[in-house]
Amino acid sequence: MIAKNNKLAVVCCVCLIALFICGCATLPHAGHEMTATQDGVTSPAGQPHALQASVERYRQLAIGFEKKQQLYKAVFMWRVVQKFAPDDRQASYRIRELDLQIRSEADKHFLKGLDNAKRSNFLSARNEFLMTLAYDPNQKGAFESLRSDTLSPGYTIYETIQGDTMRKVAQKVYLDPEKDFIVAYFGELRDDTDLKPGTVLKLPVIKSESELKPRRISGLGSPHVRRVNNKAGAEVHYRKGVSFFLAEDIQRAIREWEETLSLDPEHPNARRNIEKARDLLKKGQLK
Amino acid sequence: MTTTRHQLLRWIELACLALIMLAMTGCALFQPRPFAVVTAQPGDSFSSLATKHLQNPSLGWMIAEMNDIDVLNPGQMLIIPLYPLERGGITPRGYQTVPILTYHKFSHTSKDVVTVTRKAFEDQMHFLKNHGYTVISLDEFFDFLELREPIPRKSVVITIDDGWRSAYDIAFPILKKYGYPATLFVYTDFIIGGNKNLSWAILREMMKGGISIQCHTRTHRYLDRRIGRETFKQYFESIKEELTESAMIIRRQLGTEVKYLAYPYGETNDLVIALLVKLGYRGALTVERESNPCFVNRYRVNRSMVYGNFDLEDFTNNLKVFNSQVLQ
Repeated sequence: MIAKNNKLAVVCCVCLIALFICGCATLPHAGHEMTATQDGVTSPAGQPHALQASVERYRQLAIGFEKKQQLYKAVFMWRVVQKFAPDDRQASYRIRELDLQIRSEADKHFLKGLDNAKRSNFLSARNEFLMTLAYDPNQKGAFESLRSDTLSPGYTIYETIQGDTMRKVAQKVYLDPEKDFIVAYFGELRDDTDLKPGTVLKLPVIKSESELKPRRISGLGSPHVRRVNNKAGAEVHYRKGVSFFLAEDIQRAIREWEETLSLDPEHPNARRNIEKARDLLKKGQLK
Repeated sequence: MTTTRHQLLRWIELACLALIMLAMTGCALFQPRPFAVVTAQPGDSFSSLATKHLQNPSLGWMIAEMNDIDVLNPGQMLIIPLYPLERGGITPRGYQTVPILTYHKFSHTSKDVVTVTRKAFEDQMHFLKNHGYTVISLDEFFDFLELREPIPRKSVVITIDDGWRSAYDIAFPILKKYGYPATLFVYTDFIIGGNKNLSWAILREMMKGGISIQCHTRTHRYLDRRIGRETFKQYFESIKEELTESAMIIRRQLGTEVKYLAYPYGETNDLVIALLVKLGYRGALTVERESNPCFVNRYRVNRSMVYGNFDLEDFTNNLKVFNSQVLQ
């Protein structure tokens, strides 16, 4: 009998503790802080005028966010209004409308992003995922897609087949079997026995030998780069100019930036850099 | 025997019941709370409220922005959002960008392309303070890139390259005066002490003063190209060594984690980047004169060099914090 009573007491204690904790969770914090949840709100009791003023303030903030096209913040602020004034019709209406608009825009951009990524249009895909987050910052799919490295190709993905060796893979990927040590290093392979068929290797793209060569001072960018378009070629010279500038070789930096302008007269920084560099030369601060 | 077994079973029943109750209360405890309503008390600041409610003092600006106020007065009612309302500063009308400033040398009076005078540096830091810029650390900047934490609208990062002694003699006291964090990228062969170069002892002192010490390779060689008669294999081994050894030396000397690299001369290529990823670097920085959106490649982060002959107008031209380009 006594043992039965003891167990009952234990059960009652557990229930009481649990209920107590539940109660704490649903009550507003003590002191001057109040918390609001989706399910309930506390308002500054006994301050009807202050409350009304606050509601109007948050209404104006919500409208301001809408004007700035920051819909997610706007709907948040309308929810604040609604919590303080549960019968506010404008708040209910705007929350419904904005929720729909946010959902529809976010979904539209996310699907476009996925489609672009599938077709390897990485830049467009990235922009679509960004737009998704602009409408809904907590859209997990867009967030994950942007954080993954699928949108910044700098690797070759190679899946091994029967009979592959590291030299063979190097030949296929880099057209050079001597680069087998790169395959080993990035594939974390000790020797060919580690290379089972179906192994997926993520190997870095390596510039052509000519691009890795020590640069000639007056040399132009590699033919490969120059073929792409004038802007890409201009960028090569621009970067070379920056390198010379950092090495305090201003004359050569200026020559590279002039070459930049000849390929891309609208280059955003080359002209300004030339002016600055000439200015420094004039003042005799540099060689 | 049977009684003991029965007792054991009953205790298990009771334990299960307790667990169910705890799980239920857990659900109630951890339900999402969209916002807190707080009345500001004397002594409260945006930063103290952010510490209390968002567990991050640097998010005080978010409370100010959401309530559309610049100054906090006791008695003021505030709404504090408890989940992110924005990521990466992206809006349909454009996106936030973060300028990263790069310095090399400092001097008392004379200047050249990579040497900024004490007065110019002081004026630039004063300008940032007076015009509402927040200097954030490189860690905060990379949290922003990874869409973890929002950062103030007008955020700037300060970096100093190489390891010249003037970074300690001239820049460090000014940075301390303004309470600005900064990152110093050193190439370890250059840390030899003396009148011109920094020493490990000084670097330790700078670290205590809020400066993060990070990697600028060991010898400051070009990483994106072979040198002299180097074969490709020698080139690869050399750049790998530049990235591993320097980080190891910094770790050994300062006991700090090396997470970032500033490319010598700002130059890189896909192979170097792949190496950095493999070696566990969190990011790397070039000297492309541009501000950074949240989607910049983490291994091609832009930085703007501040030249010795910059006036304040030149300086402000490098402080672009929003790009109004519509993404669609």
